[in-house]
Amino acid sequence: MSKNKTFFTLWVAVIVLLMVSMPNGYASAYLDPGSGSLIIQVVIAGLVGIAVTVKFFWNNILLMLGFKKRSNRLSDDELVQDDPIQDA
Amino acid sequence: MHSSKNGKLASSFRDPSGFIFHHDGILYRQINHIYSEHYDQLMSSGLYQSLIDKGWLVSHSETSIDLAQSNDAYRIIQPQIVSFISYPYEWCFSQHKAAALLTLKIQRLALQHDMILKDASAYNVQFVDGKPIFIDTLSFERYEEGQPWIAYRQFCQHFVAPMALMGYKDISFGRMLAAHIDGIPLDLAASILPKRSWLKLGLAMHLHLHSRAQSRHADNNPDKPASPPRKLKRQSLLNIVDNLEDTIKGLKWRADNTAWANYYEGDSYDEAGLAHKKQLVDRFVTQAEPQTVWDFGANTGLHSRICSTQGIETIAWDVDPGAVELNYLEVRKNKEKHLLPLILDLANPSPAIGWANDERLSLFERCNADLILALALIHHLAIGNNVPLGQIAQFLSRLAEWLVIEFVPKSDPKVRKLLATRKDIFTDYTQQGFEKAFTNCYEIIDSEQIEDSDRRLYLLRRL
Repeated sequence: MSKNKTFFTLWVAVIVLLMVSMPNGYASAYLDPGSGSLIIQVVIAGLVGIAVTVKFFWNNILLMLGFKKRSNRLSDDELVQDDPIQDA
Repeated sequence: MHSSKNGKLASSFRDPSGFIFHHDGILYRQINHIYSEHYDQLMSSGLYQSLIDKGWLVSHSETSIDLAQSNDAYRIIQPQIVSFISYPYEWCFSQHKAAALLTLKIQRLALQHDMILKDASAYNVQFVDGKPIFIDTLSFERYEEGQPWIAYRQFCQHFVAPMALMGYKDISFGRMLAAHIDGIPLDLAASILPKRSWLKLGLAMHLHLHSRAQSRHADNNPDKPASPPRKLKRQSLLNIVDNLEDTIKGLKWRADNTAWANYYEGDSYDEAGLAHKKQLVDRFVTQAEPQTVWDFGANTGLHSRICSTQGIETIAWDVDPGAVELNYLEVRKNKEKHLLPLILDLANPSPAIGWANDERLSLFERCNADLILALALIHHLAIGNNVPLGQIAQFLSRLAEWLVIEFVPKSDPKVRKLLATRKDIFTDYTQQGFEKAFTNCYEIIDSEQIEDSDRRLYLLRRL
């Protein structure tokens, strides 16, 4: 099994686990103080932390092997500013 | 108009930090004492200067406190003017993307300066010379290590949900934002999106799981929190911002194959006819000397550019999100100035919405045009949409003093196509009928037949 496939399988497993632990339901949305949006950030921060690490190494490998090249098309960052190098 | 010459703007009521007001026709913002420590940090931390250097935030100058509108005024500032305020339901896909990415870049920069965005509303972003710019100086507050992002839900509702719906289902979901002023509710978006959207890491987290977390915790007893609030490290917040940025960049929509994007005059004019039409538009616009032009039915902006390249502030309105998308990408690619492509259904223009119908203004309330361009448009309104010629004249004359309009007669192939499957009930739709209807509201200043064509171009001035 390739690394890509392993990562995808792991990801699906995590999502399914979260789907099961957080079933869809109805709530008093008109009284919702938004606590779910604050609590979920901690969960998402954990998931994103793992994804960031994996992506960092994966991108470097692809660049090193020459599978990833810069595109000549208008990049999404160029929608925001003329010179993406100035980005924070 | 949304405010008289003097007084507070009706839309400026949600945030106690301050408000926008007019004084002697000039726009000011009052900053209240409650926001003083945040404002001071914005100015002293280097964040403000950094945002200005990058062109991400409207600049402002501090002015006399004597202009204060109430006792709790801390500062009065005069912000840089944005010539036209557009709304997210008028943006094409890439404009949504640009506004979302700008918001995230600002959030990242703010966190680096110990500040955080307390609002992530799409209405805080406007377009100047094609680029998105943040217009709410009071959206920044001091960041304390460990706090979550209070505006995370708003960002997901204003950007992630509508863009996912546009990208995965149908581009016309952008119009849904006019019905939901605080963004698309996540449970609604989750119920419409296809199952495969779960496979997109960002959407699975920021939209689907987020929506479920909302419904799971909505009924929490405020006296008995389910668990003690956990701290979120700054780096974790920055990771979430990075991931949101990847998610937004990963959402795509291709405009190439929409109904109108290839419609242009190409098959209505030969080369000489099109050149003559452009020359006439140029001549008529020069005669009227407008500072602002609204081009209705602009398609990808061929004629709008006759105005914008002369430094005239021009809005290129079109009903087709694909044409507007292609036009906007062209503006950004060539770093064009003075041209703003926006979506508008002239048969159902943007209404006034929000609290007391006063928060977001109708098209009429925002009109600042001196001249309207209505090229290859009248047959769509008169025949395609059954609007009597007299009403079209009245509508356009309410908007601007000058009108450059093209009359497309029944002999034209496009009109013949519109009439092909229906009974011709449009007995007044003739050149004489057109001139009769329009001279009730306008004086004909000039007119000329377009070469190699039955169409005629008019320069009209409101009576």
